[in-house]
Amino acid sequence: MGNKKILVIEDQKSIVELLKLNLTINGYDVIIARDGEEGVKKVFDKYPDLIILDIKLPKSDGFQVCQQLKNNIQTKHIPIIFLSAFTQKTIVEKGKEVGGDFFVQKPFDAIELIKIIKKLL
Amino acid sequence: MEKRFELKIDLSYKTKLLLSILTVSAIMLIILTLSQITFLRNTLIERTLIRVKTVEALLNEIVLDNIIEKDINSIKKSIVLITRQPFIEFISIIDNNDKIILSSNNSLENRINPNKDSKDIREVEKIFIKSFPLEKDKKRYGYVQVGFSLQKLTKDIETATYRSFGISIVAILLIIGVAWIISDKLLNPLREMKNISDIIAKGDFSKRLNIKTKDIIGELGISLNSMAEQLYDLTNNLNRKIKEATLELEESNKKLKELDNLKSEFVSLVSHELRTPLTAIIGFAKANRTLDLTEKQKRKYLLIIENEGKRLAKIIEDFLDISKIESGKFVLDITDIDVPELISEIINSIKIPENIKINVELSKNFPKLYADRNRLKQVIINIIGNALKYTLSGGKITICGEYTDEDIIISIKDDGPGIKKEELEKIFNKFYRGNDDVSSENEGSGLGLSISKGIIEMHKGNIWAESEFGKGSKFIFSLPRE
Repeated sequence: MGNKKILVIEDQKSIVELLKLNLTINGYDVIIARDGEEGVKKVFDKYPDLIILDIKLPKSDGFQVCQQLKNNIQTKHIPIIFLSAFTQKTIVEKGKEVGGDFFVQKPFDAIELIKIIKKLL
Repeated sequence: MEKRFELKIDLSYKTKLLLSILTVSAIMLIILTLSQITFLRNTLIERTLIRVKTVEALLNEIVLDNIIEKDINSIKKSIVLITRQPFIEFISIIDNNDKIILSSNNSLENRINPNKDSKDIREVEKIFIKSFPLEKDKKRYGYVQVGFSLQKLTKDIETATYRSFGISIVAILLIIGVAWIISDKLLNPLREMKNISDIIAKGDFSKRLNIKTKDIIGELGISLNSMAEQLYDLTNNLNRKIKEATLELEESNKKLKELDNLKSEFVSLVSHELRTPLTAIIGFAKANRTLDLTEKQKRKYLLIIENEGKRLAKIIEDFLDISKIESGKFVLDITDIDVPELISEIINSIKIPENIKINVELSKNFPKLYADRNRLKQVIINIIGNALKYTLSGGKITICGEYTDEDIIISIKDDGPGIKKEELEKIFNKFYRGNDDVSSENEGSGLGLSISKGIIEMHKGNIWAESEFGKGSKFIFSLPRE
């Protein structure tokens, strides 16, 4: 049994680096997508075990990506963690509405994030 | 406490009008009737008295001669004949000793006359008795006493009285009827006025009175109509003003709400933009402290922290600029600028990849420009920076400076992918980022072009972009020379 695969859909380079570092150290394989469309494509290419999803993304945003994946029978079981610098209630609620499993706010604590991932996997 | 007794009779105007007409006509009729009756009575009495005189003359003629000749039978015949007249009750011939010689009433004959003459015909009820002396050549033979029946007279007077009263009653009934109709005619316009006034009182000023006459009622109607007209205009005016004011209020309220929404949206976007580099800074600082990293990793991550810190500083600077521009607190430091010199200074100060060529085309005798040098430099650097991001290696950027009598026009053209038409309008908006790979790589504040637009507009200039998708884009701004 190989490592669990985590897809990170995030447009900010530095955040991608940070997630990659923390996830790799904790023994996960990391796949990167830099916009919404690429993210959806990579879900169907690689079938990750979990998705970390930003909201403000080029092409299609995080909500659209989440909805698309949760409405598809092949991908709806994949847990999705929203990771966003937006903090308003309305955004968090919308994240739940479109089927997100968890909402983590930026700046995030790596240890907490890993705990959540472990719980979801 | 003083108690006041007041007799208050609530009568309708019509009733009052009818009552007054009725009172006046009743008084008139009573006077008329009474005078008529009196006149009739006098006439009848007069007639009776004439009859009395006629009978006297007749009897004197007939009786006197016969008495002298002592022809009693002829007298008797004549008396009987005359007594047949309905107004003669009796006739008696009486001698000087008051003894009745002859009488139409046989039972009285040869008796002392019991009947006394009546004094005044007006005081007699049934029989008016009058005596006439029988004299000839100063010799008195006795007298004749006649009883005139006044029954017919009384009956005639009664009939006349009843008839007069009857006519009066009919007249009063007619007067009531006519007065009724006339008062209705007179009151109808007043009633209409009352109705219209009621409608006006309820706030409906649209109804008008139909004016039919030119009298005081008509004039009152005209006044009422003009009052309604003025009220109508007044309320319409007021309503319009209220409506306008309400609309204005709604409009400004809407604008305020929009502003408020924009403000909270701005705040949440600012928070988002600040959190992103902070996340990297905090995340990597913690990783450096807690994880076992190689020297190479440490250097790499520290560089990220440094860059993100710089980015944070730039974002804060941009936010301050945009907030100064929007609140109108942006102060320009105007100096005279040598545009060609400024452009070469900018080109020398920025890092240009070797495989990208920058052309500068400037009109000759370029005039001095009066503007804030640092801010203008900020605008040009921002546009060139954007152009560099989109220009692929081997591409070129052309900076062009021209002038007219009024304006100085500077354009920066690249041969990058260009901008889609629908995006051209949005690129100057705050936080707008294109849906393209370069934009996602670009980690700026998303405020560069809106700050540039603000700066140019504060110089009373214009900034815009022209592009055909796939054929590069051109950013142009013009500034007035004065």
